[in-house]
Amino acid sequence: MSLPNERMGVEQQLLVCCARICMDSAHAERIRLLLQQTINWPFLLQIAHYHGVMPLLYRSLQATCPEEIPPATLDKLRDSFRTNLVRNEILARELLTLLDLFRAQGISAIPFKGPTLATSAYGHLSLRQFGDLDLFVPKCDLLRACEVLVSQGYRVNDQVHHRPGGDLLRAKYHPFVGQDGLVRVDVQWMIADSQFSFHLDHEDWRASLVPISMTGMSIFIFSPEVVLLILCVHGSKHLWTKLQWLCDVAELLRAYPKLDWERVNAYARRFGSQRMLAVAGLFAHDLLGTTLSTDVLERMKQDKVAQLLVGQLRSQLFMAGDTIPGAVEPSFFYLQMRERWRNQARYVFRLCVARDPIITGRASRSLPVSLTFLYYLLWPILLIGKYGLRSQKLKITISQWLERMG
Amino acid sequence: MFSLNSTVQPHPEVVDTDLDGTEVVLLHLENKTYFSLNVTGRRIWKGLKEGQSLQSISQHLCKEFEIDADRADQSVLSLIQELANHELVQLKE
Repeated sequence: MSLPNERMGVEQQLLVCCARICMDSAHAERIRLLLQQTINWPFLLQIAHYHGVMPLLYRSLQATCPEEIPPATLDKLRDSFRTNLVRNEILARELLTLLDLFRAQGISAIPFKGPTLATSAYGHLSLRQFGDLDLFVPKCDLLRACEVLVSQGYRVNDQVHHRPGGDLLRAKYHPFVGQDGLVRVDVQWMIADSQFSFHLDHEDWRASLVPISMTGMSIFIFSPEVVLLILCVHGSKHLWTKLQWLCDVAELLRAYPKLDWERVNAYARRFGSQRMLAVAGLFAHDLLGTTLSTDVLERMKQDKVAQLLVGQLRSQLFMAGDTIPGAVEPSFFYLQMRERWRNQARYVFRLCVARDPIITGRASRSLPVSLTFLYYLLWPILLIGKYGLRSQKLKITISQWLERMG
Repeated sequence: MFSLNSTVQPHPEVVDTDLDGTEVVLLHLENKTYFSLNVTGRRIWKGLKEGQSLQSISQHLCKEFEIDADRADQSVLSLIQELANHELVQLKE
């Protein structure tokens, strides 16, 4: 049994103990012990909100020892739980309405995360915090899906994305916001950025759909095997900086004890996501005590890099916003997360392209310091790729660069 | 004004969710307003959903919460009026 240890603050330990649907006796006892200490309640509520586990905190404290919680704090938690429940109900109903509209137009749209994950993995809409609806729509249906949203009063959420003159089909994410500003919908034809190489083709996603019942209606979502990998990629993309993303993995594994691991591993191998899967599994096991079968756990433990990354991620989970000596640099992490050199090389190449404002026309993204030399090696190739070998523009750009270098 | 002889039903645009078995949250999907009912209100709402008459709901309140009939009648009528003011219930035709 893994329990949060004293290297974390008392509030963080409490949060980790409470971040679960099924409270076992060991975690319940640890909660009671922790509550004997002085708790900074405003801080606990603040981190619970940030980490997206406010509903779980309320539910676990309410079920374990409500008499130990200051009444004003319990009221605040309850208010927050109620507000989250109402917002989630509104979003879930809106999702059902949109799915009906898409279906009527012959558009395939598959919801993921949001209300469907709350229902399928957490068992109830109220137990997960989410703020928008994520919809996967195949590229061939994308334009029509956007048109349906616009016909319902949705508009492109300019505050998130603004691409004047941008090509609609080039962009992977299309954020919309409803008329009343309450509902945000993210339409995407790729599950993750191309750097994660997570491409579900038509047959993949069609074959992986399973029905669930949400607020009394039957809808299709991705199978738990695919959802697990989506969660692994999503958590990796955000460097697992929120406890909620680990809870998503933990609750999905709890809700589907008969998960087809052969299928999970086959997908992970194909997408080069085995290390992301190992990091997610080991992190959830290590921090939340998620149960994994011996062979699955052993397989994950064989990946020593994954174990190292979990150690680093765990040490910085509750340090958001702080300066962390030795913190995992995002680009270094992304590089380490790929087990195949091809994916690593592709990622470095993309970073070089993104670094160059001449190539991208926008601000640069940084390479890991140790790989900066690659930018200078690749830069001439990138320029030739953009302008062509004999172009006048290439000559001008190189002479300007030489002048700048003195 | 409602009387114990009125037949009332939940508004079709209202959904309800139980919260911890001690409270029920009512959400009006059209106007996006919500309303929270305590244990007594929860029992009244359950009766409405089951299609019970207000008279019958009041009698159940008397038994379950050990209160006198006048107080139960008053509780039922005042809550129904408040729910109607927020368009959470409507008269059954």
